[in-house]
Amino acid sequence: MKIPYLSYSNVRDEALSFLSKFHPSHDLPIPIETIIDVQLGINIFPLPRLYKDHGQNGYLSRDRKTIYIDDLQYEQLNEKYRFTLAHELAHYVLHKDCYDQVIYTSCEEYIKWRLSVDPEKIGWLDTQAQWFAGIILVPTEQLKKCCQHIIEKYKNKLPGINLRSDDFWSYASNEIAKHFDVNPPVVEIRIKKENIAQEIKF
Amino acid sequence: MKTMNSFGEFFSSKRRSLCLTLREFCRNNNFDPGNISKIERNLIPAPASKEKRLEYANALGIKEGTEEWLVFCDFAAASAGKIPDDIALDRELLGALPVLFRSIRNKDIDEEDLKQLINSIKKELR
Repeated sequence: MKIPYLSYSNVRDEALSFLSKFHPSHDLPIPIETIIDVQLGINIFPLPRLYKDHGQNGYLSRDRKTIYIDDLQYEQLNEKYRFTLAHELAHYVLHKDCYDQVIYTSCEEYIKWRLSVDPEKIGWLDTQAQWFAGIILVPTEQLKKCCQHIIEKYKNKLPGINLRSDDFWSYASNEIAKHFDVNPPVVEIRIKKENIAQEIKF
Repeated sequence: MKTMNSFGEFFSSKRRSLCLTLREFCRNNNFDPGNISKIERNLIPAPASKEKRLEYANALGIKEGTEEWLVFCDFAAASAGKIPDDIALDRELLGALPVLFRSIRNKDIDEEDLKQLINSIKKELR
């Protein structure tokens, strides 16, 4: 199977262009479910025990018309659900050619297909999808604004703490994540990936 | 406007026109998203009971007796492989159905003739 090797910068361009088209206001939290279901017309189908039985949070159907998602996430784990949706959206946007090359009609066949592909290739596709999901749900400009706000809030409150340290941003990610309706590690990774802690002005 | 060919397509299009995701729609109306998703993807037919159909129609903002209600019922009947109730209750129309079926099966009938036939039937129903 041929796969695209996209750089982080390529993926960021794709993600921001997608957001400009489907959610130009960039208002938070990004309405990922509405974009996928209502705007793009992709079906979202909660599949019982998808994670428990198959170790998958979700997957995109071969015809790219349906996203199957673990029903526990769908019902109870909102932030995780949103990230999985964004991850599958990434495959929809970035990897159309890959989906044209494969054939599967059930979850079992999907798992077999995944196992049959070189793990490095699958890993690369998933890495691109993780980047895309992070950028879509936590857009850079909005993240920078939030981080600036956090700095203003804490610069006089936490003497002795290095506000450029990973430790501080790991802590601050809990607060920032609420604005984006994602889990804190998503924000922590985004801050590192965009080098915000080093570039932010005090 | 896109032509709709199935109950599922009609259903999902109506829901999306309300700007509701499947999850929101099901939460608001206490429906099972798994079932509704299957209906929307035509994996299962429309429900057989009129009560359930009415419940779905209400949730989609379709009022009983309107033109849209008729379309909803026609798609539902077709998806369930049945003849719509209003036609089934009309003995004259019911008697005319074999002619309709023969006409549809007639390979010589072109799209224009078929449209004309459908329009005549719709006119009869009004």
